[in-house]
Amino acid sequence: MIGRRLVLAGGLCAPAIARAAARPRIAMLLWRGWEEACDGFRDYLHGRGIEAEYIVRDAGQTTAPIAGYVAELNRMRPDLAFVWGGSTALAALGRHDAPDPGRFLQGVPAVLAIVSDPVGAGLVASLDAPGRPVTGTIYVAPIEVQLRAIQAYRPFRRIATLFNPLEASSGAAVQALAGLAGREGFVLDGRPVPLVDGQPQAAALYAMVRDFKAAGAEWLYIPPDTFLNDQRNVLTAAALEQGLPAFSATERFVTYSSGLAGLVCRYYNIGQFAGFKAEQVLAGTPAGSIPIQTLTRFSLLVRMSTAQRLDFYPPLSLLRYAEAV
Amino acid sequence: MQTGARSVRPDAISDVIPGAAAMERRLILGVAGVTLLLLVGVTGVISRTALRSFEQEVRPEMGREAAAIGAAAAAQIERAVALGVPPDRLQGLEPFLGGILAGRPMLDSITLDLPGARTQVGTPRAGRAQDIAVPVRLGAGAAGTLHLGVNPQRLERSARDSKWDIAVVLLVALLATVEVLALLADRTVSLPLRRVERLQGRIAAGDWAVRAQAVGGDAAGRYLARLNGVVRRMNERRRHVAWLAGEVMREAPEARGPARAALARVEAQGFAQAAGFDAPVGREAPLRSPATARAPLFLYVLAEQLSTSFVPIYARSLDGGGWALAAGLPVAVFAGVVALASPSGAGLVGQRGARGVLALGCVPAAAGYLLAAAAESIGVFMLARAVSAVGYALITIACQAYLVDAPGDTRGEVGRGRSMAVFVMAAMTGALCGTAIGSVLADRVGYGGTFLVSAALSLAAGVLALRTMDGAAGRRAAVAGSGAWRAAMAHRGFRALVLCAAVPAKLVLTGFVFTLCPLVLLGLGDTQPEIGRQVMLYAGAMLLTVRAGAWVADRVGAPAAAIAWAGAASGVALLLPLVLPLAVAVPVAIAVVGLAQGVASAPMLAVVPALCPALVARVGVAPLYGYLRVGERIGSIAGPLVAAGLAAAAGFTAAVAVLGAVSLVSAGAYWVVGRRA
Amino acid sequence: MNAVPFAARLAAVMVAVLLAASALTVSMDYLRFRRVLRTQADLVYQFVANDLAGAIEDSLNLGLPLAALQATEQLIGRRRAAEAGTLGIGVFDPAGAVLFDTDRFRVGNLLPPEWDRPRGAPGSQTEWRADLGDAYLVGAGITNAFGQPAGGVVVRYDPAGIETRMNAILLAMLRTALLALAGAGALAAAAAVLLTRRHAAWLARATAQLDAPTGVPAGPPVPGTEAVMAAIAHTGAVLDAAEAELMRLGLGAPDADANGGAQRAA
Repeated sequence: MIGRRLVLAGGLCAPAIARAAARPRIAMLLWRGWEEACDGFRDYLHGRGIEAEYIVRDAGQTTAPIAGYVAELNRMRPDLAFVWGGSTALAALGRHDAPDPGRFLQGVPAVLAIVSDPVGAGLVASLDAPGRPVTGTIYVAPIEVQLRAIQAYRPFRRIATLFNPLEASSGAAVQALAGLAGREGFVLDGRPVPLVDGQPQAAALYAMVRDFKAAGAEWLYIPPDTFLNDQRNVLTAAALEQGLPAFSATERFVTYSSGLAGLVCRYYNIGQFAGFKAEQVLAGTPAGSIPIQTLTRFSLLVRMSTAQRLDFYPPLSLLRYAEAV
Repeated sequence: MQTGARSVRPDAISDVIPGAAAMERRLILGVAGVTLLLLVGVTGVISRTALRSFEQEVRPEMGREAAAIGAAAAAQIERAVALGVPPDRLQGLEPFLGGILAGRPMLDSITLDLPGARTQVGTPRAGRAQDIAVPVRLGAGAAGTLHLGVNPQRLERSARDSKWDIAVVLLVALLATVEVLALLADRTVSLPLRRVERLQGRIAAGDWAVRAQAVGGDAAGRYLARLNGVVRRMNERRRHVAWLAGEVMREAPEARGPARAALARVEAQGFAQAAGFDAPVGREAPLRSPATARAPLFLYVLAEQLSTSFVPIYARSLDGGGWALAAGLPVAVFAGVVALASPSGAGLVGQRGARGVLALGCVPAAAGYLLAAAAESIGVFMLARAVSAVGYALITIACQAYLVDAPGDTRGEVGRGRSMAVFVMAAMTGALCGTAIGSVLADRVGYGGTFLVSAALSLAAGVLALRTMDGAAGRRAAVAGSGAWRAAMAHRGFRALVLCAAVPAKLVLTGFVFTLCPLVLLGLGDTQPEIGRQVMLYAGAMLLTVRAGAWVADRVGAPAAAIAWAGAASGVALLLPLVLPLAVAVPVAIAVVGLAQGVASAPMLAVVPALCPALVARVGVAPLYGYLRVGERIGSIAGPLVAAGLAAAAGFTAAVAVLGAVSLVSAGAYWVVGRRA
Repeated sequence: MNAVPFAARLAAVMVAVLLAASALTVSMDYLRFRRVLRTQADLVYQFVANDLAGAIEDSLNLGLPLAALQATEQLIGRRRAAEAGTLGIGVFDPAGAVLFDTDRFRVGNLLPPEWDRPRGAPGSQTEWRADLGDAYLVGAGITNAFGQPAGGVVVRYDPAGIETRMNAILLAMLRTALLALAGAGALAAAAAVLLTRRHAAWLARATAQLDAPTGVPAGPPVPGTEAVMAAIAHTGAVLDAAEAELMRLGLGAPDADANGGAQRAA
């Protein structure tokens, strides 16, 4: 009799217990604090009824503390790790073909966000088959797509770009662009940012832009890169002054700076899509079987004030589907 | 005042009262004439209002598309300017305007007039071009204008199509109501007069054994009542005389002889056999005029044709109906089943009479439509068409047999042409009206609803047939067996009729008019409604000459000549594209083919009984019509195939010329072989 | 049959026929115009749909998948506001999932099947129309840079505009029809009376001549009834003769009259 009541009580409480026990723990490995992508991530999961416990670890724009966080998470064993940014990812997960159990995150499925090129950076073997329990989203449109966007704005024969030699992502983008140059018949003028003391030199940016313009470049392409992002105002101001239209692959150059145009993805959307991936992982799908996709929403942004100052307007047909900022 | 005994001739009616017949004809003509005049007046007035409504309400809508295009383009320019692009620095204007112009045949040119700049794409048409001007707001009080040069041809074409639509509606309404008028006039006008004629005739012929039944209260009824009274009094006097004679013979046996003689003189006057109080009233035999078959046939053909315009589309939309074959399959199934069922239907007519088979045929016809309305898959739909086809075969064979067996109010064999003309005209009118009504009906009530209407009309046709047609027509003792087919084909005249007249006619019809012409007209740039109108030209032309053909068959007595000349005329018409430009030759050829086939249609049917009387006596006329039908179907099915094949191999003009040659040659063959009739 | 005079029946037939013809004309013209108006409206909204599909194709040509175009939402919103009568615009992918819609609640669901291309149509069909009852729909297909179907745009619009015009047309036609029928009906009645006048006169005379008390007409028989009157006269004469003969035979015999039996009895 009592046993039966206990069973009954246990049965009634079971859902609540299960819910409490099922509250997932998600580690947030961030680069520069909690921003829109994280908001999107959390809002998506919240909207899907997944109330997770978030363990936030902020690297503060340097790779130094990441090793410590990794060790901590390896002990805690959360259900999922949200990894923001390519630098963070490389530091926390390492290359897919060079595993190191002592140094990198083990046994915790990871969802990447704000990573421009996981394959190029060596994080995964391929987008469809990552080869490890890592999935996520790409926040940069494929380079051919960006190129066609630039051509749709104004066709060109010569385009200039610069990259940060320290970061794999920007270099990879430039390499891809170089590969296209031969095929599509344009000239790429690509130069690395000079390093001083092992760090890219911000002061050199203005001169680089001036040299690009003097060499006859019609566009400046700004690849996704942390350093360049930090220096966006300097870069875009230089381009504006030199009369060189700047096209970027990330949002901030156009929305929070004075770049001319970009084919970008809103960070909030990226976070949401990462949440979508996370939901699948939490439901039990192995992270390695979830392909990394570019299905977030892209916008072709045009900054009209820059266009006015450059006297460089987009064609009417492009304005149909472009967003003006 | 004694005359010899008069023989009773109950059937010799019209000879006796020529005046009444003439009066009836005058009355009918008067009614028809006045009604037609009023009809034309009323429908004409309504059509004129329709046209005015069109100008007022519909025409303004026709320019909306261009206005929408202009508004969209202007909105984009306005948005660009609002975003900050100065009007004189707009980029990519020519590709933008050019993109709008491309693929829009209704626009000739687009011109953007901005303060200080003008961009133009396309070539403006001089003269009758319509210009749509759309303002472009440029902010700060400035404005530009976007001019769209609209090609007037398309709007004019649409307007013309609508005017033609109104005309077609007028025509269809007239044709349909003429049929209704024919039926109603027959029942309301002719019937009472014919009753008067009939009773008068009987009395005049000395037949006192009948009275008119169903006497009404109008003038004719009162007269009939008087005549009935006369008949009754005569019969009463005859009974009185009989009683008198009986008394005399009883009371004065020696006067028996003369009394009996007196009585015999009275009895010789054609009184009824039994001398009871109430003389048996002769029941009027239903009148076997061709008009009684006309209304049910018209109604049924109308019902069947309601769906012709959309059967392929409906078939495609069903489950399992792929894009390619589904369109043709139901039509082919229908034609095939009609061909197969016609001979058996003919046998049934011999057994049960034409009226019974006609009413019977309405059942599968209606059932097929109901099934078609409910069909969810292509298989069920094809089954539905097959069922309807059985009905079609039965009904049309029954009608033909009825009409050939009922020469109507003209004498004997000679009226057969006119009877068959009734068949052809009712069928063509029903087809015309059905196709026209069906296309607008389907828009409104959907395909399923149209099929339901078809079912209802078919059943109505059956009911009408049962009530108005004569049940004895078409019956015969001997029923055709399977040997009838061989015997029919062995007969040289009949074989010639089928192979050299029926098959080539249908070959030309489906191959040229229905297959090649739409294709080449499409190539010449005609729109779908224009093509439809050209094909309707055939139907209209045919209707014009059906009566003429019947007249040739009846009065002139040369049906074979009519058939042969018609075939020759078709053949010559089809050779026209060789010498005249296509845009002229095609409509002319269609019209001539229509006229020719109209002339030949009634004789082709009417000639059968006279062509092979021994065969007809043996197997009846219905099976022969069945075989004729099979031949026609073969021609109908082969036509599109042959035409398409020839056109693919040698081009349109050559294909038409080949068909023309076939028609000419077969006409000649028929003239040589089939003339013995 | 009833006692309705012949002229009235005739007039009824004519009026019935006129009524049928008018009804047929009005209804067919109405239906044809409705179709024309619907076609014209479809053209306008088809342009909107095609234009949107073209704009989306332009951005697709950059290489992005259909679901990745952020601006589409604003684009369809702008278009919807621009064209009066538009009820809603939606964009869907090849699988039938709605990616963008001016009605937000539809996003993410499947496109209702009756909104898509008709069953059996090839996927490459670029334009289609549908009647949804409370709205009319036009659709435009989107083709990607490789010519493959990549979804489509559907525009739904309000049938009210067409209805107002159709009502105006119907009213005008009905007004005319009623007036014309009234006039024609009066003319038909007059014509019926006129046409049957001679007929009625003939019948009256023929009837009257049979009313003669002795069964023998006063003057010459009405034309057309000669044979009948002759037959009546002839048979009447035969009957008269027989009656007279029998009476004579009866009277000539000793007890042959009606009272003969009584006399014998007496």
